[in-house]
Amino acid sequence: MTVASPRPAPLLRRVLLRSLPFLLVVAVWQALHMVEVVSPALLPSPRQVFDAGVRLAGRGVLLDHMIASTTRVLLGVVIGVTLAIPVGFALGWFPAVRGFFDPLINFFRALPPIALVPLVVVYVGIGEEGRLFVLIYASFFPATVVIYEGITAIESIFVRAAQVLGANGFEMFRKVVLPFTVPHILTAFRVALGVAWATLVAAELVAARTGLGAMIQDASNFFQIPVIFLGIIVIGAIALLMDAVVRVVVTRFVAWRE
Amino acid sequence: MPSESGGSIRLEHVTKVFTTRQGPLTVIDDLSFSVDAGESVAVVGPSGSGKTTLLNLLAGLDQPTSGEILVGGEPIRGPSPERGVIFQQYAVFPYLTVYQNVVFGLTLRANFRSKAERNRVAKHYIGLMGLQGFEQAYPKTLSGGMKQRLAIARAYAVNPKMLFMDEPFAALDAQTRELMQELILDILAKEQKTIIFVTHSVEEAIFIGNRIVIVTARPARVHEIVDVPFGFPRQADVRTSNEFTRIRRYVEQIVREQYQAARAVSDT
Repeated sequence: MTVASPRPAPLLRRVLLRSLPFLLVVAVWQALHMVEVVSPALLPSPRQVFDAGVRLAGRGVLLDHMIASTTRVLLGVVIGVTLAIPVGFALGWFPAVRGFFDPLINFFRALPPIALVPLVVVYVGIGEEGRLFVLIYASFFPATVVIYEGITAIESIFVRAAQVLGANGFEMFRKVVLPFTVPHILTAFRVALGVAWATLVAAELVAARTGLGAMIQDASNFFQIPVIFLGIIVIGAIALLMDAVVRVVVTRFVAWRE
Repeated sequence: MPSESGGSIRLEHVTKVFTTRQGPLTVIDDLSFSVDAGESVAVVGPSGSGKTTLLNLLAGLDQPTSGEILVGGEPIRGPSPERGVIFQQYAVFPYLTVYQNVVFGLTLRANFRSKAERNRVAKHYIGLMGLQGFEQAYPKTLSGGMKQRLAIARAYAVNPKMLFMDEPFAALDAQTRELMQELILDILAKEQKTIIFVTHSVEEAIFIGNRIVIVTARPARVHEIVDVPFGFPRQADVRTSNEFTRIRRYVEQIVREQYQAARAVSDT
């Protein structure tokens, strides 16, 4: 005989609790639409946006845009973080390297990727490489900083403990530095994903025909405000979902953390 | 090549000077004493008297500015698995399980052992340290005392001839500390090592040491060396003997004078 599990109730409550702030925003939005603070032509109702979504989804267009953007973001983040790992290690492990490059890294990190778009068009071109370049750029610098700060935070006592047990340079890297860095690499991935989604529209300014950013720009040209809203909401939703997935992976991967 | 056999240690005029923004700071000044193989020597002195620096030098993690530390007649050239260290902060690897921590040293090229051999060694020391049943646990789930027992098991697993301990039980509560001290005596009786341990607890020094080296406030020099008349194996009840109390009073008096001297120095 099975006993009713007490689990579903808290889960349901959690989902409700999590969606509550969003429902609140939608309610305020609906209210603003109804009291016509802004002209209804400029502020569509949630319903209109929903209908736009159903219409675009029905033709398969929305899914195409979602796939194009998600692929782009994932590719940019994976490449950006992969490049950031060796650079982060070099900066974290060798204080001299860090001292030299730190100001440069912070300079480039501070530049908004959108400001680079005109140059990217000139140097990289208007193909997919141009859009990817913007996303790689956006991912690389914050990921580098997260990784190298993680490495500098490794307490020297663990290094000394491994040394007195007989660890050589490579073993120190492989068995002490690397395990301590895994959580930071995952954090770098999370941070980079956030930044990349935030940069997507800028990246798709580079002559993109597909992608949610491209969809937003097209909609803007044709004054389809509900579609602009739809694009923004879908970007936020996918970013949120991905962040949740990475967070689950993190807790699985680094069960040892306090 | 003669390795660090024997496990005797001789410090000869060891001096350590650090460069600070305020100029050179002499932390250890012309420190000389020797420890026979199999002996257990406690170094006691006021806090800030360079005891941790001394252990770093012994471990080979740092070099003396002048003077020499000879182990088995050979000068120390760097860290070696022959010389284990127990840190006050345990320093067990948080990302490894208890079992993986114990065998850590045996997975390194310097003292690599086969899987079967690692299992045997791990079982032995996990048993001696009372960690059975926790093999697959991560350190975050262990108490401070258990973490320190794990650190001891990890140090013993590579079978060092010497063991250096830096205030090993200072972070533990009084009851756990006493049990840990007895555990150390217990494992020393079973598997003898040359021990140098640094402590600010005079009681601990008498309980575990053959001899007590009392060092002065910074810079550390040998102030006096006191012999402890109790042999090994040592029982827990020596703590309550009159002789124990007599030595304790004597050493504590000297250490107190050193504290006052240290305070007088820092006040000026």
